[in-house]
Amino acid sequence: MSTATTHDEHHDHGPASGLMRWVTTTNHKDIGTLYLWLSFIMLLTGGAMAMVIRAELFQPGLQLVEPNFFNSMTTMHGLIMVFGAIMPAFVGLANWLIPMMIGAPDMALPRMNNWSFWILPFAFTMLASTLLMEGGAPAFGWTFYAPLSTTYAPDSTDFFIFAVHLMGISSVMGAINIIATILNMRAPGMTLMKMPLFVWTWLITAYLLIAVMPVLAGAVTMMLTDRHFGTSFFDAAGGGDPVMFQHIFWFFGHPEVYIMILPAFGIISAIIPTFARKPLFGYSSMVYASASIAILSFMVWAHHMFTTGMPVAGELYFMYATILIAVPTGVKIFNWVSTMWKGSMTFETPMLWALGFVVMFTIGGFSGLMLGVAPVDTQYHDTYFVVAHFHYVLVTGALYSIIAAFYYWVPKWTGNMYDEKLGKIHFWWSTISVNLLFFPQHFIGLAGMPRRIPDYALQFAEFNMISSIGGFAFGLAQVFFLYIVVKTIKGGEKATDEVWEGATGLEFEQLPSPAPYHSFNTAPEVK
Amino acid sequence: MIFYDSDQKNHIYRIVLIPNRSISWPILVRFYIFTCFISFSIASVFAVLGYWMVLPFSGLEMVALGIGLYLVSRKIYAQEVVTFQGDKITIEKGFHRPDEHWEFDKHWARVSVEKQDAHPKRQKIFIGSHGTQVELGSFLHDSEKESLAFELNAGILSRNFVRQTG
Repeated sequence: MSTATTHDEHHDHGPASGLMRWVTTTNHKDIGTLYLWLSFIMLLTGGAMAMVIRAELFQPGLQLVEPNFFNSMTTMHGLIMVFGAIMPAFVGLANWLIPMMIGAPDMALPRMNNWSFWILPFAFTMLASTLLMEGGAPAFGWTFYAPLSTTYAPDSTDFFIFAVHLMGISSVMGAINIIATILNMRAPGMTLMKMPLFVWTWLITAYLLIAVMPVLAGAVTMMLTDRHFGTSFFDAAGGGDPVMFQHIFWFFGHPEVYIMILPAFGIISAIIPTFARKPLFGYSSMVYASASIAILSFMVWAHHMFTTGMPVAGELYFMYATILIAVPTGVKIFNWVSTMWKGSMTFETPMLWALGFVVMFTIGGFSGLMLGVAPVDTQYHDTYFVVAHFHYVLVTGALYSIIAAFYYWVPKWTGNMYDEKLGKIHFWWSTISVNLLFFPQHFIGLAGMPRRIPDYALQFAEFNMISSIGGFAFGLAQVFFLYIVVKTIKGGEKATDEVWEGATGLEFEQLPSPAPYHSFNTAPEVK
Repeated sequence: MIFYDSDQKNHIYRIVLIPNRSISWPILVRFYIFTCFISFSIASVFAVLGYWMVLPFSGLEMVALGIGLYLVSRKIYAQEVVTFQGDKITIEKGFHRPDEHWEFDKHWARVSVEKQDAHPKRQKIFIGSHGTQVELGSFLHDSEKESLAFELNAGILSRNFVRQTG
């Protein structure tokens, strides 16, 4: 019998074997796994750089590294953590989860999905290679302000520029794919207001990426032309404006901050209702709050620049607009707490990480409010208080949500339950050490210790030592996490299809554990 | 999704199969235009201030977004049409216009339902005769496939099969 149409049959086989499976794959689960592993490798790489920083700051005086190398470490640490660890981890989670959550067979543009991942290892290799170049790696901070990144930058900056371009191309391709998937490929009945919040927050995040990535690409290209082609976009001597670089950078950079936290809100909104055994309180207000945060993120960029000098009216506007963001963010915190209120709560590892997120992200949010107040920011600007603030947002916020997501969905991915005891040890070890690491930085910042310096006054010695000890312990905790990840992949107690009592969503209700290589070849019916 | 269409005068009965589309083409176009407006507005402000290099990147990105959305829409605008007319069953598959075409004699054609070992609930519907089998509605969900199989069988068994539609 000849079969004229075998279109669907090639979807039924499993993954190819060997290394080429991972190079040529267009399967959303494979690509999600690749993203997650890359982000883990980058987390450990950026973490190793953080260890160099904390080792140098363990005592006052220059101990281990030259000041320029120290600055290279802070620069590379920031770039790798932002572009290499946090963002790819969220894209990995999006790849794994979005098709399963909306009932789609795969991402809308699978080949582009493959490209958008495989650009990244080359981008990060190019970036890391600058450490071996004459003149050293870029040392101007992850914000790469001109003229430090133009007139006074090392030759390796050109490699940095091309690496940023590659990361941008990857991010844009990922964002296009996510938008096309969510808009076009939802299962029948999966209306926008029935989508899980993780899908909603990713849709908004992808839109933010689309809106701001050309600004980043333009900024680094203008850096390149200023360096080599005689333009003076950011050179005052040629009629340019270095402060404008900061405006352009932060017009990209502030939405970028929300790009790194909005998907986290979606993750937490999935985990808390499961372990509180109650539906999420205020679903639609969560959607509108996410959209409001995204819109406001375009209107507040200059709060990073209060000290550059701007008219009082400008300071007032950016201050009030910044503080306004506390309203939708507060709605989210209120809704999570209300979801837990009188819930039948249990505290499995994903819930612990989610609760850690709620408490410590709120600390980061409050210190952000303090920094948003213009006269106060004049005092805090470029101190360790800022370092403490954004690490509470990005480590105990974004990273905690990613780890929570791993524990929550890994049984669905692998079919194996993680070791609950080890997961809880990982949480408490991380939580104690991360507070030891970052909380004292509020105090040394308020006392006036500037950021990005390898040496400091004696009065900051004790808190820096405590901070370094916390840093080493937190770093070690993530190596322990690697052990838990490998152990879970290799085996363990078998997960049920539902995985968690009270878990909702297509991935838990309609797919077995582990989820098949091709899920939802036929669209599910959403009630 | 399955749509039925009949022309009682000419004794033609059609079954039209289309994949699920969670957004309509006009709304998608409006979304794209709005996104272009946002992106070019941002880039234009920078261009007016003299920082014009944002603009070409916005253009490139919007082209990429447009191509991406178009390609996906093209895929989900696939259509399969089964036409019963007299003793003939015609099957056409394509995007916007028929790209593939088969014809079977109604007296020889058979509908077969294939269940997959790995996923017993999932079915594949084939129609064909004389060794040629054409799969229909691979994108339909299970209950739709059941009703498709029923309709196909009814179409083959009946003479001058015309269903009252609308």
